Formats: sequence, C-alpha cells, structure tokens
Amino acid sequence: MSTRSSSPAPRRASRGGGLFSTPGLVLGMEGLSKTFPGQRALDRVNLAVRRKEVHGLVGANGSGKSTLVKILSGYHGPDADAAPTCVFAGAKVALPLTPGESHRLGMRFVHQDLGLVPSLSISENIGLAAGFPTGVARRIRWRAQLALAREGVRRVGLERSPQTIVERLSPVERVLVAISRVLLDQEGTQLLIMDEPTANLPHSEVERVHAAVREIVGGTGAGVLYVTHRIEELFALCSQITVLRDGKVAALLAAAETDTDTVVAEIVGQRVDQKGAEPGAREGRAGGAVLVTKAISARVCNDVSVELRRGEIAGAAGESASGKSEFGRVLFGLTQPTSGTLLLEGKPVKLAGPAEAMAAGIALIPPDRLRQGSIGELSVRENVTLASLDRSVGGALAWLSIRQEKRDVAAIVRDFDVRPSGTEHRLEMLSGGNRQKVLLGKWWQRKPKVFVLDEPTSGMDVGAKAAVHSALRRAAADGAAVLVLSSDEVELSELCDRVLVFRAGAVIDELAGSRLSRQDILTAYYGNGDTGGKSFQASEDLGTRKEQLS
Amino acid sequence: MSVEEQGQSPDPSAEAGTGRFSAWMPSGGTTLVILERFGLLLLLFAIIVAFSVALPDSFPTDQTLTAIVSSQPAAIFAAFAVLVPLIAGEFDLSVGFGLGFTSVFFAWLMGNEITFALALLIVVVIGLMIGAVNGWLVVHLGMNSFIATLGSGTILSGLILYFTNGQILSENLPQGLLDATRTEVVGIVLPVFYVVAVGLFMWYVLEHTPLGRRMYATGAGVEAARLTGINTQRLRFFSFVAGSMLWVIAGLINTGRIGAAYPDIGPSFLLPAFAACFLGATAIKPRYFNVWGTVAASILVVVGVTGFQQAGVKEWIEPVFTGMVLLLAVAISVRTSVLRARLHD
Repeated sequence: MSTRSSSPAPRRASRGGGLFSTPGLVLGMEGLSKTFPGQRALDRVNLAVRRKEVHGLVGANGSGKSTLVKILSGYHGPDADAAPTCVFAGAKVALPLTPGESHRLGMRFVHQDLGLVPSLSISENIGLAAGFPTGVARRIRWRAQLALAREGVRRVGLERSPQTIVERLSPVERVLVAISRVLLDQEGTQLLIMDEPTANLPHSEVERVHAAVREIVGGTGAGVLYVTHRIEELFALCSQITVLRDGKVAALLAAAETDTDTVVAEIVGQRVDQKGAEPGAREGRAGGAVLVTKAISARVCNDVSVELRRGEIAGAAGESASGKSEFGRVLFGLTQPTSGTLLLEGKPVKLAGPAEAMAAGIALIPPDRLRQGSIGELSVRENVTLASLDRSVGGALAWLSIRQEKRDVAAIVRDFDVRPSGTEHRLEMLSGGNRQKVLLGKWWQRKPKVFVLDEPTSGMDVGAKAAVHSALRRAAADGAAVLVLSSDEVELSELCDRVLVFRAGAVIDELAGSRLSRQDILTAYYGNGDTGGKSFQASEDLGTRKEQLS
Repeated sequence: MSVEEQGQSPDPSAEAGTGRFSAWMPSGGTTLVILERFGLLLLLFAIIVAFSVALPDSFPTDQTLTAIVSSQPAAIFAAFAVLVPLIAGEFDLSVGFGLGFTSVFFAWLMGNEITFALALLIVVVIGLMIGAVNGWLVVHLGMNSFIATLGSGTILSGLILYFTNGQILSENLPQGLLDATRTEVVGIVLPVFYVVAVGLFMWYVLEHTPLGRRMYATGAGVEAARLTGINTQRLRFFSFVAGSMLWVIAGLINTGRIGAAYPDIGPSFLLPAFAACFLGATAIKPRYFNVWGTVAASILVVVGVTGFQQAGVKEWIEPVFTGMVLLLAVAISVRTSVLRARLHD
C-alpha cells in the first residue's frame, strides 16, 4: 500500500454568516445536530450546496452521512434544541421536513437501492416517479410517455428501448434509469441527492454515471449532493467536498485545490487517542493455520489468499460491495468458487453447501440476523438445537428429548447471558443483541474450528457489543479461528489480531501488530487508489457476470 | 421487552426438572398459557353442552355420536394431508380433488375387475406420483405452491369427470375395503384407530425427531434453515409426497364408508381441512400447526355443523360455519401475534 501521508492540520470549514449569502445557494444548513440514544450522529454541521454544483460528501462509516441524507429526506428530524436553520432555494425552511415537503421543495433522491420496480419497464418506472402525462379521464397517454422516456434515456446515455424491463438491465443501467427519472421530473428538481450510487458498480462504468450527473446539472441547473466512498470520484465529478468525521464537518475543500492524501487524512482524522490497540497483548496468541485459501475467486471475490489461524481473531474490513461477505459465503459453501483452492487443516476441501461446511467444522453467522440467521417464530431452544440436530444419535427419526434439549439450551442461555433467560420464548421476542447471543450459542455448541461472523454487532448497543466481543475472544482462546467481517472499523481495531482489507473483491492490505487502529484501517481502505487497477478488474468481471445473470 | 417481568424461573435446572409435563408445558405456565393451550377443547366442550341443552332429544344421542365418529376419519386424514405441507411452509390445494380422484379412480379400477390388492397398489403409486409432481412444480420449477396445486387439482377434477362421467361408481367394491372401514372394535369403527395410529406417528415424527424439527424450521424460516445446513428443497418436496399419501388414505376410507365413489366428493373436504389446520394452530401447541390441535379443530367443526343441522338449519350452514371458523382461526393467530409484539416492544 502507499505510504501514509503525514496528517496535515485539520482545515476548518468556513462557517458563520457567510453561508447564506453564498451566490446561487440551493441548500444551506447551519448548526444541524442529531442525537440518537447514546450517540451524537451529527454535531453542528453546516452545509451549502449551490446551483449547478456537484458537492461531494464523504466520511467513514458512522460519520453521519446517512443521517444527514435522512434528515433531508424527512426520515429523521434534527435535534430541535440546537435550533438549526435551513434555507432552500432562497426561502427559509422549517425543520424537520416531511417526505412530502422535501419532494415539494424540489429535492430528489437516488438512494443506493434505487427504488426501481424490476418487473416494470424503464418507461413505467420513469412515469411512477416523474408523473405520467395524462389525457381524458386521467388516462395515461402512453405514446407521449414513451416519447418522454426515450428522451430521458437518451440524455443519460442509455442505449435501450424505454420499453425494456428493468430486470434485464445491468447495475449501471439501472442507476442511469434512476437518474433519468430525476431529469424528467415535471415539477422541477432543485437539489439531487445521490447516496452512493456507484457503490456496487465497477470502475469502468462509474464514468457513465458521472456523465449522467453532469447532464442533470446542465439540463436542470440543479445542485447535486453526491455521497460516496470513492475518493477518486470526488476529483472526477465534484467541485466542493465536505468531509464528515464523527458527526462533525472535518473539512470543506475545493476539489481543485486539494488532493487524495488530504481528503483521506480528513476522513481518518488525527492519530490521537488511539483506542484499543494493545500490540503487546495481541502477539503470540495465534497458533497454526486452520483454514487457508489459495487464490480463491468467486463472483465478487478475486484471487483471495488468506490464512486463518487457530486462536486468532481475524477481521475483514471493507464496504458492502467489497467482497468480504462473498468471501464468508465461500467459506461456508454458499458460493462456489470459480477457481482457487480451500485447504482445511492442510487438506483441500470442496464445500458443496452449508451442511458440508458444518460437517467440516465451519460455522457462519450471516449478516441478516432476522431473516438469514434465526427463525423468529421458533423458540430460543428450537433455534439453538437446529444446529445440533445432525449430531443426534439415530439419524433423522431418532427421538429428541425435549427435556434434554431444555437442559442443554438453558446452559447455553446462561453461558451467553441471554435475557430473558428462558428457553421457550419465541426468538422474535428478544432484542437484537440477545438474539445474536442466542445465535452465538447455537453455533458455538458445535465447537467450530472456523467461526465466521458477518457484521456480528450491527445495530447493537455498547453493552451487547461488548458481550458479543467477549464471547468471540473466548472462542478464540478455546482454539477456534475466528473471522469477523465488519464495516465497523472501531470494532475491527478493538477486537481483531489481524485485519484483511477488502476492496473491489480483493484483499488489498493486511494489517497486524501496531498497525491496527481505526485510522490505519481507514487509510488502507481509502488511501490505496494506486492498487486499484488490478482489483477493479475483478469488479468489472463482476459487472459483466451480473449482466449475464440478470 | 417485558418478558423479563413475567417471572421466569432463574434457575434452569429447576425449570427442566418440574416433571413429566415440563417437556410440553411452557416454563412459567400461567393460567393464560393454559387457557390458550386448551381453549379449543373448552370451546368444543361448550358447544357440545350448548347443543345438548338446546336439543336435548336429538343432539346428545348415540346416533349423533356414531354419525360424527364414522364420518370424521376421512376429514381428519384430509386435514393431515394439508397439515404436512403447511408445516414445511407450502399450501396444497389439490388435497380435495386428490381425495376425490383416489376415490373414483379406485372404484373405476374395481369396476374393471382388478383385484383389490392391485387396485390398492395402483392408487397408492399414482397418488405418490401426483404428490411428486406437485413437489417438483413447487421446489424445482419454483412455482408458488398456491398456483401449482390449484392447477394440478383442477386437472384432477377433470380426471374425476373422465372416470365417472358424472355417475356414482359403486359396483364391485371389495369386501376388504368395506370391512376395513366399517368393522367395529369395542364399538368404535376401525378408521378411528387409523387416525389415532397415524396421528401418533405424525406427532412423533413432527414434534420429536430431527426430521420434524427441520420441517418446522423450513416452514418458519426457509433461508435460516438452509443456512443451518438443512436441505430445505428436499423437505418441501417430501412434504407434498407425504401429504399425497395421506389424502389417498382419506379417499379410500371415504369410499369404503359410503360404499360408493361420488364424483363431487372432493372439494367439500378442502376448506374444512384448512380450517382444522389453522384453528388447530391456535391450540395444544399454540402458534404451531400441530397434529392434535388439528384433530380437535376438525371435530369441533363437525360438531358445530351437526348441531346446526339438527336445529333445523339447512345445508348451507356447513360451508358458512366452516368458512367462519377458518377466518376466525386466522384472525386469532394474527391478532395474538400483533398483541404479543405490542406487549413485548
């Protein structure tokens, strides 16, 4: 990886009375704060977006980007006691907004999930958002609608008939459709807010999105607030850059006057009050390799070679599309690798599915606790024992002693401090943290050699997080090879002995020892633009494969 | 979350050691839980008492009891046939026509002078094949089970017409079948024993074996079940095949009891069967589709219908009562889970 630039002095955003007098201001917000229980998501944030300007908004996970977007869309209300002021298109606007209001004002959103209806055509999707031209008795004038859609599609550079069903489109084409909807909006767009529209796109296709954004700016004169994780996009597309860190504006930069290193340094912050990094305590714990992957490629993953060791907690950092989840699925037999080998305790294995992976001593707790990990309608006991049914002597028709199950599960419930402590509650009655403790118990009773956890603490409060972490430390101390896939860098830096940094399907860096702070992880993730060539190749493959699939 | 306040016994060993019932009594068994568990039986009892008081001359009599006891086994087997796919998360709407088809096809085979054993073998094999086709459509082609079984059931209804020409088939029915469905042992017709035996077997498999647990898990959370190494595809397929076996039995019992195969017999079994499963899921093992709840609900439906008919209400009461029971059962389960969710949030 590239050497870390020395951290420059933090540049303060220009603030004060000048904000609302900015010429051509579309959106001006001052003193915006948002507090969630136990957490300050936004802290006196100022933001100014001008007409015809693409304003980049960057920041690490948890820096407050999505909270800011959600306040604009009317999903959250800001803290009232902070008395924020908001000016939109020349008029003062009272916060909180409602979704209807923000639409009426002229704000349009392209969220990461795009909000398209896959089974409808491009033209119909455009009509749903931008309004259908109607005739007598509110009949849709389909011919006019098609002509309109054709025009919109052409302007965003999409060479498709407007009657194409959205399902058949590639990921980048879907993004373009979402953008064309904004372009055709009859009520007039003042501000377009794009929330990581390129997160799932390969490098080569990002430019198509940028071209469409420029078309919007040129065609409607609207301002654009562009949220992204990709630093290179800021320089390709944006004129102003607001960097959020820990809910505060860390810097307001003009793209023409800054560089990648500066932006990364602002995202990451100063190397001060490092927390959790205790290199001394971490060393010498890891034993021999349990699971080794050699050049594994599968869908998103490209050429991943890693080693998971006995007694060690390894971490995998990266965004949702970085391939770390896919890698976890490969290890559990859910995704078949297209090439490469998997060695378990030195022997090559082929995992045809979860059952084989479980038999081989691998466990996976998937990211979606509610749907993939647990069955809410079944009891705590039934959820836990589900993973041990294959151990019952006598096969599929052996008598299950419910009394014995209760005893076993009660011990697990006690061990993992699940509350409430009963075994017969339906799992859906438990809080997220307790639900996860049950899942830890469910898999830990199998004493897995390799324990993979995908986002094990997302959405949990501090106490529940700590409980999960201590359970994982215990698992490692008992000799398991633990792999934690997480987009929470703080968690990784506090918990892991070693962190693999995933980007665009490849492991671009491996951090260990003293290089394990949150800043180190973020720097490795954001600051490695130069290694992009090879890894982005992988995600281009992904793009074409997705196209073939869909 | 208010579960903590419900007085959970903190010592798990005490909980596990409260005796024989601990296996199926929930910990901290309150009157509310008992009421939920046995509410259906209480309701059944109340209905019996009410009709007995209202119709003292006709309702609480041997004839009523005999009529109910002899007519119910086929209906309960039909409910079992619906129950197994339901547990695995699938609807089988072809149960009614499947039952009717078995009935007329068997009678048609007998009318063509085939031996009893051969006819039996043929209807069983054909039944299993129909179940396998249903399972294949749903699991391997990925069709919605509602649509798939509606389609296959409709085809069966056509085959029923083909084999009967709309006539009642009653010729040459084997004495063996009549004996098997009409003989009384200690005053109870044999099919009641079949219900008990198959019910016990199903209860054992569904509630006390890894196979049954995996089926419940598949029905309640197919993705989570798959991610726990369960072959959910195979189980869903299997549930249709097992279900087909059960409606074959139902069809045969019905033919033997009536002594004839009616072309229009099938559909009238479908809705009561679903009503019994859903109402059964509110009792015995609440919120789970379960064997004994289904049996109790099935009896409740027939007792209610019989009572109303004796009170002089015409035939229209049967579908009306059954439909109301189905809606009520589903409403209860929806409402209690909403209420619970509110209580515990």
